Amino acid sequence: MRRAQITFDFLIAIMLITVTVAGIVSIASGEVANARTFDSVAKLKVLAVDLRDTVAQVYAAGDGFTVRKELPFELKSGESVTITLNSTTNRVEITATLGGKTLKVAQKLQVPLYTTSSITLGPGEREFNVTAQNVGGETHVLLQG
Amino acid sequence: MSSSKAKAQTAIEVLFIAGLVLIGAAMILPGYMDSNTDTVVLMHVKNAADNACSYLGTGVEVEDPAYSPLNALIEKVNYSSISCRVSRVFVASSTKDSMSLNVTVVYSGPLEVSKVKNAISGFIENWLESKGFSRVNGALSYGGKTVSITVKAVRG
Repeated sequence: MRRAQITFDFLIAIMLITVTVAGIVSIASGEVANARTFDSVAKLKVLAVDLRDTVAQVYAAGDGFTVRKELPFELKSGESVTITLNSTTNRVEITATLGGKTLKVAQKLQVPLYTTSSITLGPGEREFNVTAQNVGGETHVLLQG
Repeated sequence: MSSSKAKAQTAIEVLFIAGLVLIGAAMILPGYMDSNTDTVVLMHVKNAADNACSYLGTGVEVEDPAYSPLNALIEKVNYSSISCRVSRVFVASSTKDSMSLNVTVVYSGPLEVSKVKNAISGFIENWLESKGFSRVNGALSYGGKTVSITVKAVRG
């Protein structure tokens, strides 16, 4: 047999390996897309829990106290994050459009809310204020840009 | 002249060997492809079940039709985390044109067993459809095999 010649059984072996590898690659590529979604999901969850604690802290500090918060990620064009302090459900609710997907998360607040306030952040906006205001003896926690 | 005769003789030998290799390949290939299909399906189902559990664990909704069965569960527990893990995924039976898999999921929380079971099996089916499985008469099919998945939810 000449050198530099691929044997027939070797070709068949290569074919079997290719079949296996093709299956693995198809699964791996799906997993990469999935990991990206989970990355933003996890960041949003952290933001929601952080905000819940911040609202409690601001409420406890009382009138005039403000905490400046920053989104844990940069928004690209077409992406937005809406944060709502909902007094009806007494929850902090976050709706985000990230990478063409709409994500929603909510966290129950441990302190009472008397007014609903909301803020929408777009590309280039990362910071917002969580402020306590005394209105008629009640401490209102508000979101401000 | 004699050298060309010798060459023709080697060619017949090579043909004979090639024939043996081909017969060997023909014997191995169907079984190999069959078990390869089983492995790929099992990997996809295990991935889907793992994803369902980690999705429930985050307690964040993604507004995507594929996730809608799980979103119903997340809304029911007020966006809190549902602790959940996949305890077992295995091929219960596999024949030439059908296979069935069993998935066991252990979760904790106030949710009803039947609701968790339906949500997870709904999600796994949606997920598989987006990963190249096709629907044939309402049943999932991959590589010429009908795939049926049985999900068992256990509150633990």
